[in-house]
Amino acid sequence: MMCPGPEQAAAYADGRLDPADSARYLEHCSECDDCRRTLAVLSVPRESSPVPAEREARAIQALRRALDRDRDRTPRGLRRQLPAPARVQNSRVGFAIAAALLFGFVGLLLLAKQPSGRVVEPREAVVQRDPQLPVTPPRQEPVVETPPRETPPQEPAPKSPTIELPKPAPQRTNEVPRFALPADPPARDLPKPEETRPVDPPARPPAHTVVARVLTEVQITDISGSLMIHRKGAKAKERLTGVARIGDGDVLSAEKSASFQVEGRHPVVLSENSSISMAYVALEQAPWLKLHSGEAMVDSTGSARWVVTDGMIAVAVKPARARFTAARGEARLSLSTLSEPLYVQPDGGEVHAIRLGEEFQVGKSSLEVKPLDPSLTAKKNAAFDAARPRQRTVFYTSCDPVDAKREHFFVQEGTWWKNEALNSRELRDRSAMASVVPNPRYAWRETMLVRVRFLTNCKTVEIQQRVDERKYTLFRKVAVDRNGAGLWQTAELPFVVSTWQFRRDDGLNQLMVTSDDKIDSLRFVVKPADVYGDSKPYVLIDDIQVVEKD
Amino acid sequence: MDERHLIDRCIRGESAAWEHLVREYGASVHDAARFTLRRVLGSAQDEDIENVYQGVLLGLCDRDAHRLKLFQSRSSFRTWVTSVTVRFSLNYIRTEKRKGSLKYLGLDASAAELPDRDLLPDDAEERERLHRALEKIPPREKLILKLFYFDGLSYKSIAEIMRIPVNSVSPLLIRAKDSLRKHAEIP
Repeated sequence: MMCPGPEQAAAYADGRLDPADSARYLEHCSECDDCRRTLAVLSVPRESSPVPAEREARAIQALRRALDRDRDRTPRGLRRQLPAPARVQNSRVGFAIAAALLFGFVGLLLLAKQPSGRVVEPREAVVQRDPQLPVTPPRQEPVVETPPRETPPQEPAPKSPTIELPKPAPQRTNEVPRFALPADPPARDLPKPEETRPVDPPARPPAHTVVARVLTEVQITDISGSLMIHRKGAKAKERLTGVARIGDGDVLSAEKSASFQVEGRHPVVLSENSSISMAYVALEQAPWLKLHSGEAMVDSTGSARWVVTDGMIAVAVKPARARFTAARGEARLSLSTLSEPLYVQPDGGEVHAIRLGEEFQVGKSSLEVKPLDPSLTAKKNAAFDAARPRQRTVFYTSCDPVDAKREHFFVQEGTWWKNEALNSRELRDRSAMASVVPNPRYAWRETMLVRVRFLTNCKTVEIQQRVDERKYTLFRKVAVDRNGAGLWQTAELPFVVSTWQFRRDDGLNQLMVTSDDKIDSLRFVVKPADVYGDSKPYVLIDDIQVVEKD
Repeated sequence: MDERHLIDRCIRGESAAWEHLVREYGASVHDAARFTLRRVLGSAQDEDIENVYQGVLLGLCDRDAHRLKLFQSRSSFRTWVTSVTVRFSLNYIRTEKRKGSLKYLGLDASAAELPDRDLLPDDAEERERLHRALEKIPPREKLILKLFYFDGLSYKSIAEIMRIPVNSVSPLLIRAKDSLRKHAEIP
């Protein structure tokens, strides 16, 4: 590389070179002593001391003399005229170019006379192509040209019948009754099983009592509102936030509306003064919801099964993309749908469909479908929307390998690398980085945030998000207070681009983060040298949660 | 007065504009001359400073402001003129050394700012070996070693030049020294 001179050094020092040029210039500086020294002088902050007055005066005098000399040698008027002939004299090439252009121009004029017949040929060719290619624009041209020549009402007339809507309209009206007629009977047929029930009870008197099920823990996320839990065997209630695991012996209660998500995608809203228990039924692969009091509203979007019970009666909600409510009455369980038809099957009974505006009431040995006030459905929908969680966990892992095996837990199939080093305090591994691969990958959105619990004796923990496709890493350091060292802490980092630093693999310092960029790995980095005291460095990571807020 | 406007007036040969330019930017030229001479020679004599100071200003004005016309506003004029002064000073030192006219004085008190960080050993063979090793290490490491040991820059200045965090200077230096040691086969 040739020495780019002081201009480049000045541009670099003022930060006006683009990253590529800057990198090239720095590389040059490693070889060129002059450039390096120039940069060194430019970078050192100096207090500007005034120039001694005599020295300055001498410099000004010298400049005046130099200016006068220049004026004496070349008067300004002449200076403007001189350059022109000088350039002409020196540039014989210019003559050659001018001559070539002149010959070329003359040649073109001569040629222009001969090929006059050739010019016509392409026109003929175009004319021939028109009939061969009828699909191309030529069709549009006559349409545009014709209206002014002929009377406008005649031309639109043939077009209008094809676009006219009135004709198809009657066809539609004919179709509606065709669908309406067969649709009604099955809907009205369903309540009628009540009439057939009298036949069933003698055969199986305890029809809808709870069938024994094996229950395991279920995990809930995105808890909002005041949700209390009374753990089995515990003396006091505790308030739930964030993520929790609950079993059938635990009782969740809400004095006011509260909500949470099950499996990261099913919002559950508890009405005022409601209490429930939740668990998971492995056999049916369904969350189990036991109502102690009040009412629960569930969005089963994603066609998940549910088992709803009041302790005596249990109803399996068949896979349905419906929002439904479940309320506990006196020895009866009520279910109603808030959106689409809901298919339910009481334990020991048959499958029934509940439609909008109906309420399904099931007792030990009774079952009936009652009409529901439409305004009540709307009211419940509004209550659901008002209380539902305002965030959704996109990715969560508890970093416990046992949890990963429980499919109903919202632990994604994250692949951990070197995770023992970070999770096991006993190993005391000096590995400085752990990485988890979220599955599915999530895109960067400013409405999202990452929440993580950590325990460390280091001064900082660097949280990185890596995008392999575009080869960059966004990172942010979380400072750990000396008092907080050795204690579990929670960091919450919103995905606001300006608050994250980045590192491009190619070393350039510009980056455009787009919503198409999917995060391939979440990394946690600590520096072994950056430790409080002289103990061995460690960091434990837990409950990594990526949340998207509404 | 606008920087560009002032320069255009100077290029047109207005003596008042030149006077203004000297008063506005002369101190930067003077400082850069003094600083460079001190950095390179260890001391700076008034005579040399004035030679460089006047040389730069006259060089800008000379031959119908030929040199000044090279300023393309890719940086501020002050940075540019400082950069030009450093180059002029280095050339001046080279020329005067060749002539044998540069007078070396002992370091005065104000010249003590140059830190004592001799990378190169006294032994000529060792020196040569280190120079060869320097040529072999990556440019980035070479640059940081030279900036620290040859130019005596602080971590902050190095960080500013290399556009890296100040915290990264020390590890990079350590890595560069390791690399140098490896290539120089120093145990």
